[in-house]
Amino acid sequence: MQERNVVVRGLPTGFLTSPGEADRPVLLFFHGYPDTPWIFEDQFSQFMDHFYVIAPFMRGVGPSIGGTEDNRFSLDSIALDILGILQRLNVKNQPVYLVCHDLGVPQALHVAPLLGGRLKGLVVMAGLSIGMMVHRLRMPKQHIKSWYIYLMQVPGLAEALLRRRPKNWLDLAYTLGGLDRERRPTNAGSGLSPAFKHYRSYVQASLRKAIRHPKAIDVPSLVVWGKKDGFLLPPTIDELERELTNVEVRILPGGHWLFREHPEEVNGLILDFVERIHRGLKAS
Amino acid sequence: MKIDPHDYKGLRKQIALQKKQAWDLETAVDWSVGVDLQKPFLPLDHEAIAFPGASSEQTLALSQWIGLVVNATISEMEDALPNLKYHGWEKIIRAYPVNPEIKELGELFFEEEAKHAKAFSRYLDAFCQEVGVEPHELKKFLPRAFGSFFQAAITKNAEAGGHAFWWVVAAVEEVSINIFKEMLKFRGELDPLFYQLHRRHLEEEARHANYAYLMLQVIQDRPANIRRRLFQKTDFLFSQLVAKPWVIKELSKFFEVGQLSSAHPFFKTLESCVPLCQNLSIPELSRRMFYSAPYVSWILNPNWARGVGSVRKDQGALPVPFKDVSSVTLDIPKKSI
Repeated sequence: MQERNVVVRGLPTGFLTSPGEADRPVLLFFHGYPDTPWIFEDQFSQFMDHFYVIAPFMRGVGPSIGGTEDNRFSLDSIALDILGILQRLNVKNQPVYLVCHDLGVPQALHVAPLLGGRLKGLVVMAGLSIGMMVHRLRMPKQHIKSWYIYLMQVPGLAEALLRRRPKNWLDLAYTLGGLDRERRPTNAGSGLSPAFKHYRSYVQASLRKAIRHPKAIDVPSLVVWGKKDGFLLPPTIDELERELTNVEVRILPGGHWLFREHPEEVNGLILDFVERIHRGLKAS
Repeated sequence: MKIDPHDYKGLRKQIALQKKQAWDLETAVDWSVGVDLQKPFLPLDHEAIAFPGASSEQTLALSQWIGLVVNATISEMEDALPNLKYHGWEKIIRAYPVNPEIKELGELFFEEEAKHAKAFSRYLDAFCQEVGVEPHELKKFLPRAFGSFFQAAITKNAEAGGHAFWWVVAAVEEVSINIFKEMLKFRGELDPLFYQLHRRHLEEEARHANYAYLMLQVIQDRPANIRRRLFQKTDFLFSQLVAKPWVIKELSKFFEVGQLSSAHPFFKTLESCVPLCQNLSIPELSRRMFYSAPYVSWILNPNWARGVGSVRKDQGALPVPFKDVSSVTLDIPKKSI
């Protein structure tokens, strides 16, 4: 994978791509926090020979400078950034598959309708749309698991805590997510500070009802979740079908970073899912 | 019996096996042999369940009657399943995180159960033909779940979010497997059609018997709240408390079977057995029914269903306060009935 940097909508923006031209089906990855796109390295090695793989650094992470305006962290703004990257890479009519994890999920679900007919499939891993998260406000156990989101809403507090022992907080995040030390990313994660702005932006927008809850997405969707996810309770069909009408759920033993804990198994599921869609496209 | 509902590869294998080895109702059982009224249906103990002193002719008739009761019970239970499919199953798997294999296995389970219900009902029809009564006349004296308080209570429990339904299914599956184990020891002596039918039934029950446990595990794994914890604690007990009166009421229909005595000598013989049972004191009759009468106490006393008991213990569900049955031995004669 090669790292590239461009200016998108006035801000430096980085992303990883597989070598070659964008003439193959596109696999577009959305990472969560405190990660960078490198968190998907086991997926890149599996898929880069067959797909044109694109994995942006989300706003505020690594080379994707956050800028001074908070609205650059909104879902609308991130969606425009992603479309900007696709335009730069000359991705026009190829089938696009989105693979997203954690906070990358609401971002991917926001981009999905904007891709129109190019979007052929969606792989959701351990993440919820804003609408689903709001719906979970009725679940006390989810509130307990989401304690860190509330912490981040207090301006200055999370930053002050993070300044003290940043490495310990990062370790805590991976430990709670059930990721063994040896499977944690070797290249430094994004840290937690970019996540604060994203979470604040989404929570505040949700409270103001400023986030449009998009129409249900009807492309085939695969949802992969660790049974012991430390941050999010596994979803149910009832919950998912409000936004993903054609969904298949896979609950596997594991935690929040299932695709790093069991890369072969998760890659196998993604490949099988994409191949089934591809066969269907060819047949039709 | 711990099953991992998330082992989707193992579940896929089970789906493939069930599909491959499913039997056909028309061809898998040789219905042309008809029912042999000279042979018993189920082996009985020395006191013919609760009829001490029964003659060989009476024992034969009682064995056939209890066989019909077992068939009707399984048929009724399995026939009642589709009515509970939405509240007892579909709603659950939509509301809890599960892999698609759980759904596919469930569809197969309901399909197989519907086939079993038809098969047992067909046996009853064949029996009616043999004794010259109309099926609806005979069924008046056999267990009937449809429209009963028992069925209504289990349905209400499922509608309210409980899962007593799966405890009942698990218990019926285990008892039906245990019944066949007894039959196996006497295979040459039993009515060939009755034996064939139960052998076929067992094949599929053994393959899908763990589905009820799988559902109980899915339900156990869901995120708990007070209401769910309450159901988890009490549903087993509830299932037993509503099932017992139903079983006793349905068994008591035996005392009216004399109404058919003019139709065939079989019913006349059964009518002659009634005084034998009435000679037993109520405490002795109760002791036998709940502890040591084969088939009957297996249904009435959950301690006989050891697989279900062990899952109940694992899940921390409240037990029915019956005495342990581990010291009770069934005295079914081993050589001849």
